[in-house]
Amino acid sequence: MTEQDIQKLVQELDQVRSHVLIFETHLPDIIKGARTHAKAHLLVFKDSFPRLRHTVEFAEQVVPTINRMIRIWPEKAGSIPQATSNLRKVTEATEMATTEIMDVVDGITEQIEELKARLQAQRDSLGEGIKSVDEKRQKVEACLGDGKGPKAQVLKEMVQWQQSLESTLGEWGRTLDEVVQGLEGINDSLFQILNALQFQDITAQQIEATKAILAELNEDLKALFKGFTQMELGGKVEVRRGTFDKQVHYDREEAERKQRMADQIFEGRRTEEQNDGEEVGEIVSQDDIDAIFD
Amino acid sequence: MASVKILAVDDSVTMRRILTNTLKRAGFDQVVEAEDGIDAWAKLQTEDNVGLILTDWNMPNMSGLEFVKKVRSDPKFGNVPIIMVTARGVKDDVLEAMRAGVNSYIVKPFTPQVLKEKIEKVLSSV
Repeated sequence: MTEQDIQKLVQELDQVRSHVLIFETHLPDIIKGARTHAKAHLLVFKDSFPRLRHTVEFAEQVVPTINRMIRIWPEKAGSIPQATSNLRKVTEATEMATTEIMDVVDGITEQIEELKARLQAQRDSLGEGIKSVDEKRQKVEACLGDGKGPKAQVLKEMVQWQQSLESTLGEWGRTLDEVVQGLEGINDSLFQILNALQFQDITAQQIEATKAILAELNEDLKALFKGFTQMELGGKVEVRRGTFDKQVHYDREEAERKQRMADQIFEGRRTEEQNDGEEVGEIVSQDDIDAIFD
Repeated sequence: MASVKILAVDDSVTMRRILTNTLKRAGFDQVVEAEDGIDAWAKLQTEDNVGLILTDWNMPNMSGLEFVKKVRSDPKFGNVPIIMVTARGVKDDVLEAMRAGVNSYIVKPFTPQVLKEKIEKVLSSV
């Protein structure tokens, strides 16, 4: 139906209304002269006239709105494919950003592992040094015995120096251990960051689900427009079917709850298998599961 | 156990990388990645001795569920353990996956501990 068609319809409705009004004016006279049974019918008709007039008035009010919609529709119709295209770019951008974050995390992890290895080598070498100093101190102490004189004094000082060195090396060793532990802690934190990036997969599914809704809306609007104007509107929304679940969302606590439920379902199957040796997949019915969880 | 070769199937680049990293950190060094059911099926034909499959559900071309059914219907791979790793987590989903033949089910977002535990449990029971 074109705009001209609608205008024509409005004119026709206007004519109908005029006729109805004329008829309504003359109706009392017609009724007077009519037979009883015809009179009854005409009375019913009389009751219908206000409703008919209301319908015509309603059409008059609605048609301009439809006209306006038809005028602006082609301009606005492109906004849905544009919006979905923007959503696709959001998915691509977050995927790119998470990849960059993962690259950085992997790089830092690699550096930390190298540092840890070098520190560990130093720690091992220090351990050897401490052991060696200890052995030498024991030899000096053995030589020293209960001797007296200047040489004995020098040897005593040497033992003290060795003890001090041993203590210092021991402290270094403990510090190195703490540094290695700290690096391991950083590594664990980096791993947590990496793990948190699962949000990207889940939000991408949510965006895809939103795109699917917009795609349906777009097709409905196009069909409606075609119904009024016989014209095709362009702009198709591309959706990656099968890649999303509209119910997913990033929620650790809910995931844990669902995990427990899944575990119980599988645990139930295992128990049944052990008890009856039935076939996999035929054991836990929906009723069984409902009985457990509801 | 750590020497087992694992096929990790997910259409998300991010998830594939997270899975591979987590598996390697847990000591599973042999990880093969696939981006959907079709790719996974092809990898299964070419890779020797795949000992475990981790698969997403929602994927283009061939979903995880279809892939599981395909694997289970082939006598050559019928006994390879499969863990579904998915954000879908309602009861019906879990039951459907179980009936299709998966050995375990992990809900996303998962923790590395859960992933490791499930893998160890599945591998120790085969």
